[in-house]
Amino acid sequence: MKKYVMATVLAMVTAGFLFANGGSEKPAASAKSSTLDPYKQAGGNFVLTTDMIGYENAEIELTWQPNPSQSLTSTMQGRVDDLKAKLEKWTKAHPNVKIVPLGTTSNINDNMAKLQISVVEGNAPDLVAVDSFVMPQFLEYAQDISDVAKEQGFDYNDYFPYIKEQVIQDGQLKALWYTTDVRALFYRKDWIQTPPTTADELIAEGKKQAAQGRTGFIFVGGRGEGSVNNLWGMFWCQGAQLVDKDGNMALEDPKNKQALTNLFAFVKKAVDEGVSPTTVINYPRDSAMFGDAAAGNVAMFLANTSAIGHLREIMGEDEFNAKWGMAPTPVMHAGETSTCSAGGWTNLVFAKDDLHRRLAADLAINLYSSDEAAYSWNKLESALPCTNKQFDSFDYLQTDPYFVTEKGYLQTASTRPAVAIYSTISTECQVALGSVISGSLTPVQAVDQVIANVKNSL
Amino acid sequence: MRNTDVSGKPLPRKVSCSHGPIPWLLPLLVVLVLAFIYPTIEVIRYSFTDANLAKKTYTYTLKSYRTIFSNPSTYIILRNTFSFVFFSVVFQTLLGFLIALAVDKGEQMHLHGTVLVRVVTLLSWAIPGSIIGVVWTFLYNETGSGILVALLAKVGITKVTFLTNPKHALACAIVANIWRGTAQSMILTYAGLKTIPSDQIEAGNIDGANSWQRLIHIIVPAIMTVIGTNIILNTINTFNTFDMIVSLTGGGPGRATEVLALTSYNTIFSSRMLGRGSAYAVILLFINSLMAIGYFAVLKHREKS
Repeated sequence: MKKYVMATVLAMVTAGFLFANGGSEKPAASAKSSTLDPYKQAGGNFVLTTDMIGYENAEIELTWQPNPSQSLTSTMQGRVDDLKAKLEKWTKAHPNVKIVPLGTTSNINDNMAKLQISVVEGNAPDLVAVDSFVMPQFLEYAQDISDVAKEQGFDYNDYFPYIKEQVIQDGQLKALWYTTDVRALFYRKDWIQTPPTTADELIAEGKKQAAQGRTGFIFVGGRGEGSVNNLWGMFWCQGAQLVDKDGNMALEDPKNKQALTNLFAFVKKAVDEGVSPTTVINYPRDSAMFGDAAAGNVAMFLANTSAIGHLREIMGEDEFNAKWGMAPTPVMHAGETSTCSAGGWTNLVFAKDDLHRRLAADLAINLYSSDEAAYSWNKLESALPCTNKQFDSFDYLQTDPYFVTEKGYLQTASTRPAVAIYSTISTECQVALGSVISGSLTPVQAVDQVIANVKNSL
Repeated sequence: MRNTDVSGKPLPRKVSCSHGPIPWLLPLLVVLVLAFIYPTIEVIRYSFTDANLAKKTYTYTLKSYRTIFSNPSTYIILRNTFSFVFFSVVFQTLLGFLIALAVDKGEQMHLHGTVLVRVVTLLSWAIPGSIIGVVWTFLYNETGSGILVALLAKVGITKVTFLTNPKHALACAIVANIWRGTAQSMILTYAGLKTIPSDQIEAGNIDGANSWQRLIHIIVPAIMTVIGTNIILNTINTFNTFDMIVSLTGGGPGRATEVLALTSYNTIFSSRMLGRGSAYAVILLFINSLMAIGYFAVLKHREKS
């Protein structure tokens, strides 16, 4: 019997050991990396696969977790080819470094939640792509990479204001924001002479279009971050805030409460007056609207500017350019300044030792951020670059009227508050938006429900 | 003959590792501990904390449970969950039973196409939940291109609402889930039907029992254990369903189709509240356990009687 007890204890101890250490070890290279030379020619074959990039016997291992759609596993061949060329060039210039790409889920929520666990536990990869929306929550763990950016000639002080505000902390560059986008009103310019600039104008124009048998205005109304994110501009333009300076919910403040009520009232009016169909509830994200927009019966829709690339792909560039115009997100009341939510992706360096930190930052700049890298990458993604210089110098942005217009939106864009309570506020607002669209709550009731539920969750 | 020492005393019997059940059960025990018991204990432990994915430290508290039970939305979610499970399980079991009975009868009558029916039914089982959600989104599309809308329009029914109406959305989600889960019921019931000795049915025929009497007094009692297992599996599967709902409605409009498993997932992965999300999962575990205990109690009672 003693033997059985011993065997059981041994199994438990082994299990305990496994749990205590599971997956927490860093590559062996980290420990001795300070003595390694990245430029030393390593032996073995040169490999460029989704599992490894570089010479097989390279002594320095750099772990890299990209956004799946912006990695070698992307379904867009152009992106893969672009990255392959850049990765080959970089690893051949650093022959003693091999890059180990780490796969992750394309579900951004899951992806970021898992990353958060590994960052907090201290096991994060050396270089990680982080959604700009949650990026500030990772900044305290990210390394300062100002020195590498300066050496590479990347002028991070030239970032657009909303980007600079977030990535530079106490003069230190903590993240490389490499693509951005804004929200805009897309309208059929062959049907609408002057795009609406206020909520009332939008309703009036939508009614005119609906009277001709068209769908006046569609927007993302389903459960998903995209719904509220597209609409926040119409809330912020009223001078309202979701959270206060201490990061607490600010919706009980009469001004903010009224602004949210106005937003929901606008949505209700659009639905009640036949401008927007209740089926907007079935759009959980922008891409769900594109089929209907391309089908030819929709007069206006509110979306991320990445819609330009998507719709050009669906409809063809000439047809899109001929039919669809783009205007700033309408304001709630005349006289307000249009604003919108800006997003995008960032690269953060979590490498602990100096050599890995420098290499990871260097790699990120050469893949996505330098002028040369940003030019090819943003063109492929139909995304916007993040610095004034890049915006002014990239030729395709100067000739494309949509991109030229977007720069103005970037100057007044805002980002969602990067505080823990935001995700609860967002979820409750998504729920409330659905209830307003379906008519089960009035705008006032919906706002009260948001406030009550957010408070209850604290 | 027993071994003895020099003084003639019998030596203690040697226990070999290859004898007895424990060495054989040990690997299973290790797997159970690592894969099931440890994660379950961890989820229960986290449910009594204020753990957040963004923080390394946490404290033990009952706050998660207090917050959950003081939130009016919880009761909407629980009502949705129980409606979703009840109607899904009833119709999955019933339809599965009817299809299995039809296939079995068809085979007895040597009809062509019974294999095809089994394969087609099984297809729904092979499709991932998130894909089923997307497929049903197309079916429920309320614009002119919607399949159901077009079919109903042909018989004069217009202006129907599916997922956009909070009163209809849950029913639509239940229908999609019934479609998804009927295959499992059919397979289990079909397997059960194959175990009924033919002489029992023949004896019923000789006694003059009609089809209905044979069904109620011979077939159903003979496969009652299978039906019970089927019900409990359907119940647990449906309680844990959230993938299909995510792609079908995301839980909306409002909270009209939000179920407990989805809330648990969203609380952990969107709100990063590991403690509260775990508490939702523990409530789900508690309900599932009660169902399983109830099922085994009924089964035991039946065996005794």
